[in-house]
Amino acid sequence: MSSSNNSGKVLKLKSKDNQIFEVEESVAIQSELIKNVVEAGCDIGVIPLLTVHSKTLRNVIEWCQKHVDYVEENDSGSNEEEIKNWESEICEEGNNNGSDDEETKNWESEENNNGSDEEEAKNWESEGNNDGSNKEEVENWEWEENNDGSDEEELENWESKFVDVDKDSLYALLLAADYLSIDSLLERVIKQVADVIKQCRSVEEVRQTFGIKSDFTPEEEEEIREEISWID
Amino acid sequence: MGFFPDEVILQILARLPVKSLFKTKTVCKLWYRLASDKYFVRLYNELSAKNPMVLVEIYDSTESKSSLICVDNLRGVSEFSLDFLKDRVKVRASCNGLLCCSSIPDKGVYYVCNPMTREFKLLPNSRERPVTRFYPDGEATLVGLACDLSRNKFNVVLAGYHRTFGHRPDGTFICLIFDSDSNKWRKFVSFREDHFTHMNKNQVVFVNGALHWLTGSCSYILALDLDYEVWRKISLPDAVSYGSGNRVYLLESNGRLSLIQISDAWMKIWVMKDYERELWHMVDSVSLRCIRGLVPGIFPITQTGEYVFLATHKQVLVYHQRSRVWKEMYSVKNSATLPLWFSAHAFCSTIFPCD
Repeated sequence: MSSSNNSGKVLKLKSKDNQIFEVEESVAIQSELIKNVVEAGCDIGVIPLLTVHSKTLRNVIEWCQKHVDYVEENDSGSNEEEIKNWESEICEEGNNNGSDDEETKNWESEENNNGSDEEEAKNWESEGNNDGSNKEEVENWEWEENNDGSDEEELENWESKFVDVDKDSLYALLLAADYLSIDSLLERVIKQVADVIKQCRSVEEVRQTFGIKSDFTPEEEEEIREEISWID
Repeated sequence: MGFFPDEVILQILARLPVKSLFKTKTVCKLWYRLASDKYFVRLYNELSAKNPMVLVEIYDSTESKSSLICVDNLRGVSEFSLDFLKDRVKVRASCNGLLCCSSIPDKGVYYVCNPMTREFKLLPNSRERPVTRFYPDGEATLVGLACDLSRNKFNVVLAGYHRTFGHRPDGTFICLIFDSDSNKWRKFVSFREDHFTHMNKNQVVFVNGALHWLTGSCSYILALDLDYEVWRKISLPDAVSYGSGNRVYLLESNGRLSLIQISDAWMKIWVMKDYERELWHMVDSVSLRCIRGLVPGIFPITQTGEYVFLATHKQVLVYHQRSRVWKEMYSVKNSATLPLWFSAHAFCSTIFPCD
């Protein structure tokens, strides 16, 4: 699994239903709650997590492990090479003054055109008819220079799959992430719940999805409906 | 879901787009109360301010109609209208979700509006305001909007050179400041000799309680401290001042001043990390190799810590810094239009109140 370089200390976490999970400290301290317990020196024996069921705890541990692995895999010295490349290109660029000055002059004169907007529009229209060449350029430029982004994308995809679960599991994750204070998980689940709400087509659908009863009186309902009637 | 802590509900509601939020808060009394709370409004606005978008105006000359297009990295492209102002307007400034617009038919008439909530305020006329005395054509040279998320108030600034009866500028620089708390204008006068290009005027940045404009020929940034009514100059990084031939633009980056410098082959991003001591850091240097053909006509409009939005004549592009990928987010179909960069503003969608 992970090639952690810490002391390899293992913590014992106990779920609500009395199951014990052995977890590496580096993974477990993604939870601020557990981190505080460890820092206070109270991590002797078993740490009881009274409100988290084993099913949820298992998933939470998987999340924490994935994030520890991701940080380790991406923590390399690859930045140094990039910086060297920039530095050499900057030196090259310093010798290019001639053409830059011309460009600047052209742009300054265009921007300082105090004529009316219609005049400007006419100027741009004539330029705009040179469309042919642009299309080619657009097709060519969308390429990746480095593959650094794909790791981040991979993590994002993993996270999206992770939170794509039924509502009850989602709530359990939300409560656990809040109780254990795991920012990354809390943030992602909150975003997922917001996305679920966005997909609901009506206020009633939101209520049904989350099992909430409206406690407005019919008069209040009417007032509110008017208040939001401008929204399409 | 009633068994969730209020704070969690607030965080969920804070991630809904404005229209969704307004509908969703009517689910039950608890959600309605939470979403109407001052703390929530501030939370929502601060979160939204971290997701800037590009606002451009599309002008259709065949229909003599213009519409506003909003390009967002996460949600794509949406269109909205300022019809609720019941006037033909031009957007002059944008800050934290509010827009300051001037009336096209009625010179000197200004509105501040929130296009998401459709609230608006017609700014009062003031006998103090010598509207027709701005040089050269009666219109203010600089229009700034400062929306303070923590103090929940906004200021509008109209500044320009004074025109005497002989139609010549006399060197005095008039600054009018509207304060939403007092609902009044105040005026102060100074002597200045600054010049501004079109982009300089469009790109005004509000950070640290001051409005900032880059001046023409990129000599310095002009800052207006709104509380003390003082103009001051902020220097550019040496590499920018002495790097001839580059185009430079003033943007914001997460609450800080930022400069983006564009040359033939490179785009360099600077951020002022220490405002007190005016210290600049270059935070990124981006090769423009893959958009080489677009470089002469490309203008940076807004950015987050991870993305830079740029506009060309007909497109809005986004550059993702970590993955080094360029993407076209929007392009104009018809040919009868002013360049997108001409009317582009940074924008974010908040529920900042304005009436």
